[in-house]
Amino acid sequence: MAHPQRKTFGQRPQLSAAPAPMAAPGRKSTLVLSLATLGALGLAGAVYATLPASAPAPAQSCPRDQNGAENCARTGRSSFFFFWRGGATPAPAPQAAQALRPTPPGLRPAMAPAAPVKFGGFGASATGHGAAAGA
Amino acid sequence: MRRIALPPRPDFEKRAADIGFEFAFLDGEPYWNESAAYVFSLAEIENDLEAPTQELAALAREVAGRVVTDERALRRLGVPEHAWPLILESWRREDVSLYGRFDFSYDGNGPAKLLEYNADTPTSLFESAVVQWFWLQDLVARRQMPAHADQFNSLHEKLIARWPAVARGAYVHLACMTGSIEDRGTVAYLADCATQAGLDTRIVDMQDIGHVDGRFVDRDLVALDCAFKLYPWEWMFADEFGKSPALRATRWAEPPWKALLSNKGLLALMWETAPGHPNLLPAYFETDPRIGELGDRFARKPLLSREGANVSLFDGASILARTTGDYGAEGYVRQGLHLLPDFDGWRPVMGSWLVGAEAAGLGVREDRSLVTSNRSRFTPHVILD
Repeated sequence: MAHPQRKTFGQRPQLSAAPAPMAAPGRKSTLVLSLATLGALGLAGAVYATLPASAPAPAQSCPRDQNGAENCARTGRSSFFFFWRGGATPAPAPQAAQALRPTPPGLRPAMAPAAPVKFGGFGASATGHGAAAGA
Repeated sequence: MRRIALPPRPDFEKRAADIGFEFAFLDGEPYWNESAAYVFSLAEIENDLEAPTQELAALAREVAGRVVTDERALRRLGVPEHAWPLILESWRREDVSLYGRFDFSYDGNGPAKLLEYNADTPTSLFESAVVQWFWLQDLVARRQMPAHADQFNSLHEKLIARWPAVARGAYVHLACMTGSIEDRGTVAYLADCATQAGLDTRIVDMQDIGHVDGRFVDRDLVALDCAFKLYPWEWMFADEFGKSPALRATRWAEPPWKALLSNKGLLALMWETAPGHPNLLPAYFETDPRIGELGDRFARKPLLSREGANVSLFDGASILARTTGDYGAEGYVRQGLHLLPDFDGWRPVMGSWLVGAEAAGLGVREDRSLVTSNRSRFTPHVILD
């Protein structure tokens, strides 16, 4: 679809992402289940699994650009080593979620303030507008 | 572009549970809708959605760079004066943006028209990145879609790739109003992406952010070095902690300068910068005498509002739609009227995602109403032609 007037605003942007490696049929991919999300969602355990060799490869051949080169940046799912499982149990209250994942020792030490900590300084505006803040 | 009817997967509930999709229904109403899908050609995606997304992202950034030191523009946007130094510092420091979403009106004929830019706290991310992708995978596996069926969707990979630039090795707190299941789901997904990027994360409620010794901390008194917040900057500025110097001690995502772009005054500033751009609609601040150029067909939108609240669509003497809400105190913009297209009585809006400055995917929401709201249904899409 031609939009000649767009030439006024510059050339079509180049897809800057490098093409992702294509998934070869039968390739074994490592699936990593993120521990933090599981903890936050109150789910039990973690999974480290290997995709069976028979798992379906992403069903696309990458489109080709004007020069005939394959460009997988847009479709891009060949690098989709993603495994996210949840919903089996309700998400816990925030405090419980925190308790599931204490700060790793030494990674980020807790402060030891002399003054009392004040909480609740954020959130009032959400309460006034119906709580959800996403758009 | 077309809308096709499809049989929903009989095992949808299990498939949703498998991937942790907890809000297919919101308040008892279906939110995820797979009884239909929007079909695009590759050319429509690349030329009409992806390219304009990249282009408008650059334009928006150009506007931000101009406005950040323009006192008059900051006032027109209703940005509180106490926030100006924080915004300017974050711009000059080149604080990194994680993501954003342009909402376009598009029907496959003619250029997509920008309706708004959700630059600060966009949701529908998990649905776009993951739920609709697994939907497509399932349909291809079940031969309900051809093997070459594709989707404009590289959100997941790009989010993982982007996180290290945002966090720069810091521990990442992700804050939201955890009482909202949709917000909590969005943040949990982003935490997952960050973890897969090798970062350590913790989810906190906005109200569990504490303040002490010039720092923000969580309930365990761990300082917030890098914090993602699904909570708009204008609310942060208005809240009790909104003037605290501690705001400077945390690296925020989205960064403070994005507050300039999540404001619907951006629509007027973009039009001012690139008048006649094919992907923009004419738009003016309501206080601008040039609003007369719009005639009597325009949309009236608050500078700061969420989920389609307080929007009115005027067509001559008729009011085509009017939504309620409690926004608008900061002022309004008027934008040339461009109605959402009609597909079988459904009005889709194209949510075109950015990760950093890169176009990264599409999420379509549809409604019977002319104004998209947080109850509009997410309907998956596919590239077939």
